[in-house]
Amino acid sequence: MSAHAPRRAERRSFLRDNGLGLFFGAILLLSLAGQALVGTADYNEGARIAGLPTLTVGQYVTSSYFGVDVAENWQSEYLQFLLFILATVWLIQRGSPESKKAEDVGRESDEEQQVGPYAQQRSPAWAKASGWRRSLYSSSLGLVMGAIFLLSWGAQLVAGTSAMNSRRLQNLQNPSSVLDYAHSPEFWNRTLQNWQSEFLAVGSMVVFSIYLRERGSPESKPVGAPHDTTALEG
Amino acid sequence: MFSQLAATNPEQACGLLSEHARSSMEKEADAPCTTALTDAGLPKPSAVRSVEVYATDGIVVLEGDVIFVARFGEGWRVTAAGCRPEPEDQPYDCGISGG
Repeated sequence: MSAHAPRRAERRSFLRDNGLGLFFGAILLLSLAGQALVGTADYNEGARIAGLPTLTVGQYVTSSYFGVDVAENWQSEYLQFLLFILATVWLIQRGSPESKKAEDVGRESDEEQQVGPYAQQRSPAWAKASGWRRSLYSSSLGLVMGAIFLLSWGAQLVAGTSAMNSRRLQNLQNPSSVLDYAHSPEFWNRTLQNWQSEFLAVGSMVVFSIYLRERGSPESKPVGAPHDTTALEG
Repeated sequence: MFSQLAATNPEQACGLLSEHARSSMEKEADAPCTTALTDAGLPKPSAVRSVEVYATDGIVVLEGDVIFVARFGEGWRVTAAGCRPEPEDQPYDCGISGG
């Protein structure tokens, strides 16, 4: 056995243990790179026809045009998961592996949540703590997802104002304010067209997973589980 | 500013126009840029009141004129000049324009 063997095994183990996060991180970067390239080509096609300045990929990815396109998608994804995380505390979907059982609706007891005196030895420190630290940690996932949603939506508003004003100047019109853009059909069209697709995806996954199966996926019930079994992941 | 340059050195002013603005002006006047620019009747030079830039585009508001500019590979170029506001958010009516 070579001296490098343990390090190789350690690396393999790291990749296996973090495969899901690494996979989505990699396809995120590939998608962003692809969006940057085709977005630049798309923008430049229109600019050439109109006799307007064309952009390099570097200029495009730092422009408000790219910014608004990225931010409008990010905000809707974080809103989708924020709502899913919060709605599943109080709402159930009988038969869905994404839902908990009717008797578990709500924030649940300290014992069920393993906090305070019911914390285990390896529980996070703030789950063992009392007062504001436990309260904050008990809602930390929703708070962080909500904060990223608001920041992304704010970025969409600011970048969208700049991109719209760039187009208005190209049309020889006066620029508008952020407040005007916040009331504009374009801002709400960009926002709602993303929201509806996210809500459709979550809603259909919750309902489809009652009757359909994906063998081996924790997002699905075991293939042989009855349709009316709730909160069972395979 | 641009109108002063157009009056004193039309050749240099033509070099500051975007390609589209220059060719549309020449086409409309059926004359070379320097002649067309002199005949365009741009407002008298005046002080700058404000400048706003968004992405590659900018607007320069002067006391007696409004100029639109854009940042091309070779630098900032005038895309429209001698512009007068129109009512109800309509595009400015410009003596020189063309992308």
